[in-house]
Amino acid sequence: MALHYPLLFLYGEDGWHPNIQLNGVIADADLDEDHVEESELQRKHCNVTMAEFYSYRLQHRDTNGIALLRGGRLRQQYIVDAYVAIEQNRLKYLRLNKKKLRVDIYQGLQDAIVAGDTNVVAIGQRIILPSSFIVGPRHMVQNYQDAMAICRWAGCLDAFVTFTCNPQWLEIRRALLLR
Amino acid sequence: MLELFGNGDASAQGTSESAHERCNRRRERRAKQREQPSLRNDALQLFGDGDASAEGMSESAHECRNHLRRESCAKQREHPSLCNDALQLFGDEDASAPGRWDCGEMDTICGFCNAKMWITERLAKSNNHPQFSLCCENGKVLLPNLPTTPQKLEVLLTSKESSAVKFRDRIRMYNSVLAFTSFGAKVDESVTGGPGPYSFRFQGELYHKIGSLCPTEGQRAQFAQLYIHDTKREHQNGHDVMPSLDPTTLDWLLTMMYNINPYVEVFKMARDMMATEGAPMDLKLLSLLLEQRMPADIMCRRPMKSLH
Repeated sequence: MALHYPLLFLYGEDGWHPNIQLNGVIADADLDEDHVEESELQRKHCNVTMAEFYSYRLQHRDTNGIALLRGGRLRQQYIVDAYVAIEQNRLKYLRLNKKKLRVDIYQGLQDAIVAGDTNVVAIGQRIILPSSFIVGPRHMVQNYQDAMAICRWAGCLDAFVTFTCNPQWLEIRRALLLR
Repeated sequence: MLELFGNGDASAQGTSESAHERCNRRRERRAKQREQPSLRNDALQLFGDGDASAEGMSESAHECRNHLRRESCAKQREHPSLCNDALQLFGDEDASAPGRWDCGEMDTICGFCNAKMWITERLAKSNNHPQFSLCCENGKVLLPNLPTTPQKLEVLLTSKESSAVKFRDRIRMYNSVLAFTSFGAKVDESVTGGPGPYSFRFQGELYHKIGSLCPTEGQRAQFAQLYIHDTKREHQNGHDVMPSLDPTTLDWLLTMMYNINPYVEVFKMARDMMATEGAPMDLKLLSLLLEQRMPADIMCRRPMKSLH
């Protein structure tokens, strides 16, 4: 990232890499060999994920340099770039860990949700996005079914409200003024 | 979600009730709505005071919200000029709209990472000592601070002078002149420049490409080649790539890059070696593994360079 955004990271600051440890989590290397198995179990989440890294970086801190914060359009480009990297990383994980995710059990489900899956047909092997992949067809279908369950319990909808952050909100504009 | 239906009774714990009972309730509710049409309006004023009166809200939620409102009112009393200024500047009617709920100032500091947050962004169970998961996952993520921006770049990024405004307008062009890598993706042009919010769509994966170190014959030097090609001609090269940029600003930015960017030094060294040895070589850019560094100086060290 520093190579691509020299104006935001003038000093060649580091970007994300897989070995940044979470604060307060003991490194595997520090444990005795007897505890290795135990640590295997705890290992689920001991490194900083890409999403965590970027959400940390994008916050406003008075102690930090302002280049990244005030980058304007360049900052927006950086954010898009970062998100793409996060999503690519997630997709790559799904592609490489089919066995671990037990993709074969999806086979039966496949018939039930045919409509959602038609776009995923790829040459070679089929990769199914699990419902935990946000904006994937399975995630959408689950959201839809949740919504329908609420309707069933509470009756027909009176109002359908979608909620989007608006940069014109007074709170946001005040915060921008103060900077 | 429950408030959305504007019915306090909808929140009564009713999952185990029979369908019959539910049906009855629904009928009652409709009747109530006919009697009190204002109830329905309350539901639409989701963020006004209307929802605060919904019966379904738990006591603690009430307390919390009232507390917040008191807080923000007190703040407004403390800095009346500030709020008025903001109002005057934008001529905002929205702010004085009756029942508008205000979530206060972005003035709470995360105790772990010093990020500025709105108090309402805190985790639900941390009323006395606000904790946040948005910025640092409640202290679990801790990264080194970004170093202070050089004074002159800060001026370019903040001042209202015309040269600075122009710079900010074209900051992406300036950046791509100075960048070491280029942008690679199959971009779908059909959605760019259309109506609505800016969109950017591409197929496949996005890359930051670092091309060959020397420009191919007949081509201009660009990206990393700018730093490796020829010291004397670097500045001229920079201007050639993007003629529409302001030469003084670009010159200054290039000088700054030469003075403080660690990667420029690596490329310069490679060029010097190429010039003296005259033989083709590989350049590898490596970064020290985190375990080998002291936590405090992650950013301070230069990347390790190795030349074969």
